[in-house]
Amino acid sequence: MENNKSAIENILALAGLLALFAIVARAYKSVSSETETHVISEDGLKAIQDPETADKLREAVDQYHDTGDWKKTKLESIL
Amino acid sequence: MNLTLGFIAFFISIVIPGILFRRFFFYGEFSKQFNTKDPVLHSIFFSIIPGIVMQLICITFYKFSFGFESSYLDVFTIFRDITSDGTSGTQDSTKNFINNDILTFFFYSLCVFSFSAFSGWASSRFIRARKWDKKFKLFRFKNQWYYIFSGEVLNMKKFEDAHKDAFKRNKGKDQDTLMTYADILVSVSDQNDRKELYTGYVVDYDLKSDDISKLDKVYLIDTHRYKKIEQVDGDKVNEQKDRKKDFEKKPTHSRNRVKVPGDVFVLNADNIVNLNLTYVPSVKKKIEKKRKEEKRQRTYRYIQNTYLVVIFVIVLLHFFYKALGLDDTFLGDYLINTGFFGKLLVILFINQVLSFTVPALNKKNKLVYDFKTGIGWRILTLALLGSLSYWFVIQPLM
Repeated sequence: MENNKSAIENILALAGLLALFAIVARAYKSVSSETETHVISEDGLKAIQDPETADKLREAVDQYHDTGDWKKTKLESIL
Repeated sequence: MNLTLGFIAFFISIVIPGILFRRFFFYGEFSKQFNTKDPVLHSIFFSIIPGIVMQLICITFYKFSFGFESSYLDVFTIFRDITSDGTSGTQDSTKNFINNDILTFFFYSLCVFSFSAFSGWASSRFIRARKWDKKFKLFRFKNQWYYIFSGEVLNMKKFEDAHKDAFKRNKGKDQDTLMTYADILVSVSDQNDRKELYTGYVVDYDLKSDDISKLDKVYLIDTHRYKKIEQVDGDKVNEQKDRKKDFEKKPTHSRNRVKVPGDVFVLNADNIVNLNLTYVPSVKKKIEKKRKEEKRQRTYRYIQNTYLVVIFVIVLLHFFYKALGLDDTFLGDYLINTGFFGKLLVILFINQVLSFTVPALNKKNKLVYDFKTGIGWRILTLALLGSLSYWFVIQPLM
């Protein structure tokens, strides 16, 4: 009986430690991603690597230079 | 600087925690502010204040959690004995420390180092997460070029205001930048009489190691160069024809734009005459933001409804307390002996307390927690209702 109780306590302690570790790891990941410092985003980099998307994007930038409004460009359909 | 025992003690207790704090505080693009090429004295000087703060926090925490057997005077005496030349003798507390507690001090120092590193990491992340570096100049990192190239400069207050005036809409506050498109005018002769214009997406940059406020290099991808067709020599007619074909595919404004072959184009910043940046907004982040806002609004509506239900239940309890058997509980005295106006005062007081937990509609018809507008009046009303409830209801019951 005592042995069983001790084993359950050990398992619970291990589960608690694992849960704590998971919470800390998740918090670390969340804070790191929220506060990251990148000049160009990964999505942006991906978009430019595709020549067709890069051309369309350049066209959208030109349109923005003409109109001063991103809503008048086809940016949403490109990205 | 002589390497004395006192200097080693000072280095372990103050300088290393300070250096660790700074090393972890300046992360990512801001790590250029922590330069290992700095002179030693410079590094030590800027590490003293954070080091002292870290040591004070740790020593206070240690005192209140584990407790000191010795007093602060003993700490001072030990430090003085270690840093002195030994002519005034060694006190008992110092001997005791060296004989018995040196291992504890070693583990304590390791904990201080870990805490300093964590504090540096956490405080800079906190500043970034709260966007204090964009709101307040005091918290801004020195690397201004990061803010410029990442588009975060748009979120700074002065630029938000400038956009409000220039475009009649607040672009800066709402925009998350996907990438930065740059038009860079470069001088290609020593006399500064020949210039070329390059465009491309900024992928990275270098700062000068001796002055981090100055650009050293700019790295562009998908780079194009503007060139006048008339300037092309006669023997390059074929090349010109190819370009013409290329130009026909391009939008109207890019007739003279020529693709620069290669993967990354590196520009020496010394030759840059000026920069024109265009921040391409992130559609994905905009959608994510919209989703988050919708979720937040749903939660706020839920809180508002819960508040209404709670208040309604509190009012009902005052009417049906007998049926619910509340007159036999600890509330019985209050419910039976308090008059109508007394109960009304208490209900208003509870309502005022709960109202602090409830979001309110703003000018844009959105639910928000606004602790700035009218907070003085709200606290004053709470204090008034609390005082009246205590005076007319609670005190007579005691």
